[in-house]
Amino acid sequence: MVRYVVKRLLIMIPTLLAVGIIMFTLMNFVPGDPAQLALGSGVHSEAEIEAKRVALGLDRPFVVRLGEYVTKVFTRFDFGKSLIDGTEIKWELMKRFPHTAKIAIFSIILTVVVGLPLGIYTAVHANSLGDRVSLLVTLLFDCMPSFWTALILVLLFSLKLKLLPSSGAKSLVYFILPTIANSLGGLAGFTRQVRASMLEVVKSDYVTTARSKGLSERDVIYGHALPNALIPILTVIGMRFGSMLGGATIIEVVFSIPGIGQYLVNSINNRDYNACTGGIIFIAFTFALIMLLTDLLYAFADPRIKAQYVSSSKKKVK
Amino acid sequence: MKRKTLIALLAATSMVFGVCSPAFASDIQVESATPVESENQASKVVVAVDDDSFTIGPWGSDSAVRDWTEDIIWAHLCYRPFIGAMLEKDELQMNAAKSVTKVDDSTYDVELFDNIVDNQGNPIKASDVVYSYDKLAELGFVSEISLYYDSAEATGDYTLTIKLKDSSEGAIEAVLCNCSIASESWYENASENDINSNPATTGAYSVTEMVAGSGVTMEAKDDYWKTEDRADSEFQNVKEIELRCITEASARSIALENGEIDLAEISSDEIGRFEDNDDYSVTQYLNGMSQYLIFNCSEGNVCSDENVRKGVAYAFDAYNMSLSAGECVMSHDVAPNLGPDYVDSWDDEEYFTYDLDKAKEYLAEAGYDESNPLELSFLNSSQAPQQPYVALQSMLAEANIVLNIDSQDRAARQAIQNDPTAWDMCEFSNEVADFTTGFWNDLFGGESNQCFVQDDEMQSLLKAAIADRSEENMTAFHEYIKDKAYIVGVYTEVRSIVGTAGIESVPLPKLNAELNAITFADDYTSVED
Repeated sequence: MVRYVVKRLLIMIPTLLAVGIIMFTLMNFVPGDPAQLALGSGVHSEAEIEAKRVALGLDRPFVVRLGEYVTKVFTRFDFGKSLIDGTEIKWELMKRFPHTAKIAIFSIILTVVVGLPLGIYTAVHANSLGDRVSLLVTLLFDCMPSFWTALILVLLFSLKLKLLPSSGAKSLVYFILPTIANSLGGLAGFTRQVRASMLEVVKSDYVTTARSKGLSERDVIYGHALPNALIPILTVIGMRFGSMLGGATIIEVVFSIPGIGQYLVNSINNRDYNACTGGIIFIAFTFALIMLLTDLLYAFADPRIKAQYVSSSKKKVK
Repeated sequence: MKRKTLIALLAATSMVFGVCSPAFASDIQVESATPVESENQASKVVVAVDDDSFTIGPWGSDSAVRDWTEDIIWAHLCYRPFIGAMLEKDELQMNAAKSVTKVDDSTYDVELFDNIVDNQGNPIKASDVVYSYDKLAELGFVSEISLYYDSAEATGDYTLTIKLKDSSEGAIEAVLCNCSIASESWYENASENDINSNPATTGAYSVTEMVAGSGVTMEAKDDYWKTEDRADSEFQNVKEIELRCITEASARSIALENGEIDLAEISSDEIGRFEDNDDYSVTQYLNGMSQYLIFNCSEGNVCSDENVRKGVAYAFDAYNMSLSAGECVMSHDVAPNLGPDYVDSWDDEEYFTYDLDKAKEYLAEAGYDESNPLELSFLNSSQAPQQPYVALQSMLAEANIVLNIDSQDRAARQAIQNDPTAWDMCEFSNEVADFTTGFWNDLFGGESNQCFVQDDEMQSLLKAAIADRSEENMTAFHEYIKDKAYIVGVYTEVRSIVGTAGIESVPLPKLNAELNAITFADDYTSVED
C-alpha cells in the first residue's frame, strides 16, 4: 500500500510539471499585455508600457521566463509574485484556500447526507410515486443554473426573510447559502448516480440470497447492497470534491467569497501569467491528491481491491 | 422588419428624451460636498466596494480599494484636494510635508514635520521618504512617479530635495501627492504577510483587519501624530471604516437593503430603488471617465477619409446611446468638462448633433450610399455593457453603415487596439487626472496616438495649448479636433453612491469618496452598531 501511495505521489510530479508548462505557455500566447493591464485603466504611453514590461521582466525571452518559473516552482515551491499587484502568489492562495475548502467540504457533506439516502430510497422503491417525484425534483435542481439558484436564495433568505447574510465570508453563517446553492445541481447528479448503482445491485443474486436468509431490509440494503454499490459512488464524490476545491467561481462571485476560483478568474482577465499558472498547479495538485485518497478509499470499501494491493506487495517480496 | 421597428423605437425615444435631455444634464450636481472635520466622531461605517483584488501595503497596483484607502492609511507629502489643484497657487494641502519650496523648474526642497511616526512607533525621517520614492519608482506601480520622478536626496533629518525628470505642468503635484510614505526599517524587515495584513501605517488610520479578497477594516488613530492644520485626508470623522468587497452590482444593492452595509456605489439600473426613499441618501457625481469613439486614421484605412468620419459622427445620437447607461452628461469635447482649463462655453455649442441627411451627404462624398454601404469593424470591450453599441449599430444602419461589433475581453482588446490593421473604429474611455490638455495629450500626443493620425498642425496646436492653457489656445485645439473628427466624445456617466439615511454627505473631490471625511447626522447608527 505504501509503495502504491509513493508511486502515485511520484507520478504527480511529471503531471504537475506538464500542467505548469502548458498553462504558462498558453497564457503567454493569449492576446493581452500584463504590463498594460498592470498600469491600470486609461491611456498610457509606449514608454510607460515598455518601462513596466522591463520592471516585470517581460522583456526577456519566453523560454528563459518559463525555465525560471518551472525551476522556482518545482525546486523551491515558489510560485513567484503576481505581475499585477506584486503579492506572493503562495500567500494569496493560502489565504483564499480555506474559503474554497469550506464551501467544498460543506457542499460535499450536504450532497452526501441528502443524496445518499435519497438515492437508496429511489432505487429500493424504483418506479414508485416517491421515486418519480424525487427524480422530477432532482431533474429540476439539475436544470437550474447555479448563479440563478444563488440569486433566488439571496432574494428569499436575505432580502425577504432577512434570515441570512447575502454576501461575505466573515463566519460560518455566511457559508449557508453558498453551500446550498453550490450543492443543489450536484445533488441531483449524485442522487441519480446512487440510484443507478443501487438499482444494479439490489437485483443481484446475493441480495436475493440475503433476503431469503431472513435478514431485515435495513441489513440487506446497508449491509449487503450498499457496500457493493459504493465504488462508483466514491468516484463521483472524489471527482466532485476535487473539482469543487478548484473553486466554485460563480458561487464565489455571487456571494463575494474570496476563494481560489475568483482569484483565478481575475488572474486570467489580467493576464497574470504567474498567478494563473500557480493557481492551476495548485488546483491540479489538490485534485490529484483527492483522487489518490479516493483510490485508497476503494480498498476500504471493497475487500477485493484491498486483497489486490496485499497480493501485489507479497509478489514483490517473493 | 424587426430592425426597422427597433430603429423606429429608438427614434421615438430619442425625440421624447431629446426634449428632456437638457433638464437631465442640468439636474446633476457635479460639485462635491466640501470635506468638513467633524467634532463628533461616528462609530463605524461599512462600505461595499466592487473590487476584490487589492493590496493595502504602501505601494501597490491601482485598485478601487487602494483609491479609497491609500490617502487615509498612508501619509503622503501633500494632498491634492481637487482635480487640477496646483502647488504654485497654494492649492495643495500639506500632509507629511511642512513646506515645499521651488528651487528651479525641476528641483524642489521639502521640509517634513519632525514628529511623524507610524502606528508601530517607527519615526519617519527624510531618509524614509527618499526610500519610499525610490522603492515606488523601482516597483513601477504609479505611472506618474515613473514618468516624472527622477531622484530624491535627504539633506538633513527632516529635509530633502526632489528632482523631476520632466518639469511639465502638473508633474510636481503628481510626484508630491502619489507616493505613500513608510518606514524603511519596517518595510525591509516585514514579511509579505505583515506588509499586507498589518502594515505600519503613517496616515490617520491604521489597519485592524485585512482578509485578502474579502475586505479591510481601518481604525482612526487616537494618537495620530498631527493634531492641527490637517489635510482633508487626515480627518477622522468616523472611528472605524470597514470596506467589504462585493463585486456583483446587484449583490451590493441587496446588501444595502438587507442592512449589511452603510454605503455603496449603486449601478444606474438599480438606483431607482433608492431614490426618493427616506431611508437612503443618494449622492450623484460625474464619473471622470469620458466615453469616446476613435476612428482609425492610419494610412489606407477607410476612416482616414474625413468625410467617412463626419458621416459616422452625424449618423448617431449620443443621447440614444447613453440611455442604457443611466444618467449621463453629453460630451461637447472628447474630454469631460471637469478639468479646470475646460472652456465652459463649449457646452453651449452644438457637437455632432444627430443629422441623418448631413451624414448621408458626407458619406456620398466619400463614395458610399445605399448601393455601396460602408462597412466598419468596431472594437469594444466584452466586459462593458453592450447596449450602447447595439443602439449605435442600429442608428448607423439607417445611414447605410454596417457596423460589425468585435467584442474582446479587456486584455485582448488592449492588445488589438494597438494594431492599426485590426479595426476601423473603437470605443474607449479615459479619465481627466488634472487638466484637459493632459487628457488631450494622452489621446493625440505624439506619433503613436490613439487614432494613428499623423498631423503636424494638430501636434503644434496641442503643444501650444499645453504650453499656455489660454481660452484661445484651448478653443483652437478643440475646434480643430471637432473639425477633423479624429475622435468623437460621446458622454460621461453619472454615478451614484447610496448611503443609509444618517449619512449626510460624501465628499468626492477627486471622484473617489473620502470615507474619513463623510458627514454623519447626530442620530446616525451604523448597521454594525
